[in-house]
Amino acid sequence: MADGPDELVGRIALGDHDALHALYLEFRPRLWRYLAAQYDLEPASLDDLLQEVFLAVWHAAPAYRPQGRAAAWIYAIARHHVSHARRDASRLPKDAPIADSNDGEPAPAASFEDGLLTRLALDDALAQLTPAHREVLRLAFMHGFSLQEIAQILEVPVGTVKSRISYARRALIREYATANGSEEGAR
Amino acid sequence: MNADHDMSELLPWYAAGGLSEEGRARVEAHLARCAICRDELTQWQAVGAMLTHAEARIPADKHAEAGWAALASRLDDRDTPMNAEEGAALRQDIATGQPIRWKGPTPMLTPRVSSIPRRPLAAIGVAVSLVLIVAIVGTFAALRGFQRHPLGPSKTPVATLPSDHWTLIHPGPTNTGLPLNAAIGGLVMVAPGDGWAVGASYDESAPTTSSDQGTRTLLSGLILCLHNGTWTVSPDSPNDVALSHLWMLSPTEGWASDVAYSQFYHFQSGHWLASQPPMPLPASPTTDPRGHYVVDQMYIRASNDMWLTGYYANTLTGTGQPISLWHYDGRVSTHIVDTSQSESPMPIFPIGPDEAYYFALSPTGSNVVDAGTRTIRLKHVLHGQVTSVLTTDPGNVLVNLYAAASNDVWVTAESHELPSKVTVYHFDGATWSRVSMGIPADVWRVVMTGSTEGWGLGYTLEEGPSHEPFGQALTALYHFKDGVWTRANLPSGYLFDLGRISATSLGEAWAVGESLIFWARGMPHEQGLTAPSGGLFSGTGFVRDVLLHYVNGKWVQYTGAS
Repeated sequence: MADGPDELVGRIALGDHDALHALYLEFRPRLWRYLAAQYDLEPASLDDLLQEVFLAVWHAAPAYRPQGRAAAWIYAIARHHVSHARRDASRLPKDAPIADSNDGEPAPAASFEDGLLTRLALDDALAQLTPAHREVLRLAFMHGFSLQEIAQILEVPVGTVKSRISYARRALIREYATANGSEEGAR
Repeated sequence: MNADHDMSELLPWYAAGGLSEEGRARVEAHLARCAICRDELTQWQAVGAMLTHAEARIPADKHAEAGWAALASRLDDRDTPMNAEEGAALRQDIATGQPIRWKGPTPMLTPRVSSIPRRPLAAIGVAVSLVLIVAIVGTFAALRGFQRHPLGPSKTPVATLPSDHWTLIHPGPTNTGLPLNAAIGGLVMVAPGDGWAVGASYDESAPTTSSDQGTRTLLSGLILCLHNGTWTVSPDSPNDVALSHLWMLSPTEGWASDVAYSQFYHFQSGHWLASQPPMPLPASPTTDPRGHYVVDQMYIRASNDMWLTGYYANTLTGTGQPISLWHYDGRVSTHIVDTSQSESPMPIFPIGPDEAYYFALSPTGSNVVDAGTRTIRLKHVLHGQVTSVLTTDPGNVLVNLYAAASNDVWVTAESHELPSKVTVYHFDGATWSRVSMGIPADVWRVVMTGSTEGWGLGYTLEEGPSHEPFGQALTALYHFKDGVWTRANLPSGYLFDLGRISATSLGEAWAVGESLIFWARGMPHEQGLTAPSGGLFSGTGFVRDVLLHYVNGKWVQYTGAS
């Protein structure tokens, strides 16, 4: 039976290990991408962190109160844990751009020209944003969350999400167009 | 100004494919007639492409299976197992395929709550509610300048507190000298020490359940009178209309309206009275009874000098016509210009009888470069004739106009780049010139309030609270006077919207400041908690306006009659 995240959380609340496994299989890849992109974590740290996140989901499920989709709740937990880990160990960079760091495997590349010509501009443009601004864009575009859900995940008012996303668009478009040359930056 | 234009807030989610069918339909109906939003949509699509491209380089997760094996070995007894009754209900929902009926909010400090087992912080399972609590304190303590203490392993049993309980964490200004929970829409000074403001007062209720965001309902419309430095509520304030727009034609005549320009109040002979619209709405171009005219913006300068932009919309099809600009001379409305799809009138700024400027946005295509290359023209309307008088540098957006006289006109433009660059143009009656004002780099908007005085809204990137309700960039306000910019000291805790600043003389101004009223969840009643550093909060809130007065060289929050 292919339960959705909300049903899985319900089963997890009842102590169902299989439900946690299903949730883990669905959300681990998403959270991996989110945390790797947003916090520049090394794979080993990320692996440790994700274990703690799913353990927290396991323990917190009986007290779960839906504010929206369970997915947003899971992301919020993941974010808490990053914050927690930073505070405890200062092991994570405070403001990190998207990294090429990996565990020995070359990063998937687009075409060679793409890699050379476009990547610099992309990195420049994204790196010009604060982490908070990058985060709202990622949550909306790469993880499919609504305005309210992003506010829930980030634990900020909806208005703050709106202002961040608007600011981020301006900054990103401008930086990208500037870095990539005016006309060619179109695509 | 157009409520329909709020649709632009949905554009990122439209571009990301995250809207419901209904949401998509609404956005598409708006896009069909709004060149600005079509332009913005192409930018959002480009943003999505950029992010997709960037994420393609994230290293693959190769540890998922090993990670599960390690995790499964740690799934021992829970800290807070579900109680039998709730578990049975949940089990039934799942077994019958019903949507899960999660239990409701837990009352604060009931015997059942106190029976929940306590664990130290090291137990991961309690981390969620605890971190919320920790973070709330940390954030607001930082905002208030409390000393921070590092978070250590906690012995405090805060994790036993229910996370459904809302506590007012940031109560906002306690003495604004304004009616309850006032929001100010328009503020205009008419003489030194004298002016008017309009807005509304709201009844706010705190959130009560975990999914509640609180409610805000209209208590009363507000008309506020400033006399000799003191604001009072006019007895003419409407009971049931929230006012947004204010035009003062002279110290003895003015107009106010709601946000949609559907209800008007006219000030004359010392009183504000409900009134018909000051100028007739343009007649429908067709006989289709479903059509109606939507006012986008209106500007009233004198009883014989009024302007509006708007469009016809069909309530059934959702379609509209291009935006048109009209002038009313007290007797007749004249159609000045109908915009093509490629040019939309932006704010109108009348400066004299039958004379105005407006900003014309000209999308030039459909790709991301538009944001950096499109030009915004300043159009001049005189006796019904439109001429283009100024074209900004590519990518710049005109944001403000101040006309001290027809031969002393100031226009400010801001760039897309960050920190935004502000360009100031001046017209001396014969030529436009670019003015070098030495604007601080982090000012992104300038509002001239006099021929030699202006204010610049900016931000600083200095370290703010790590998880902030106010954003990492802190608001800064700069004052331009006698050719020099100086940073103004602001009362703490207010964001500004420089559209609502007004001055009649050098060295004095009034502005509307915004403060957040903030509730947080999972906060214990007891005070005296240690404030840890960092962390997150969970909360909801409202923006509440305050009036700020610039006098004797500093901004102070208005607190009522002195």
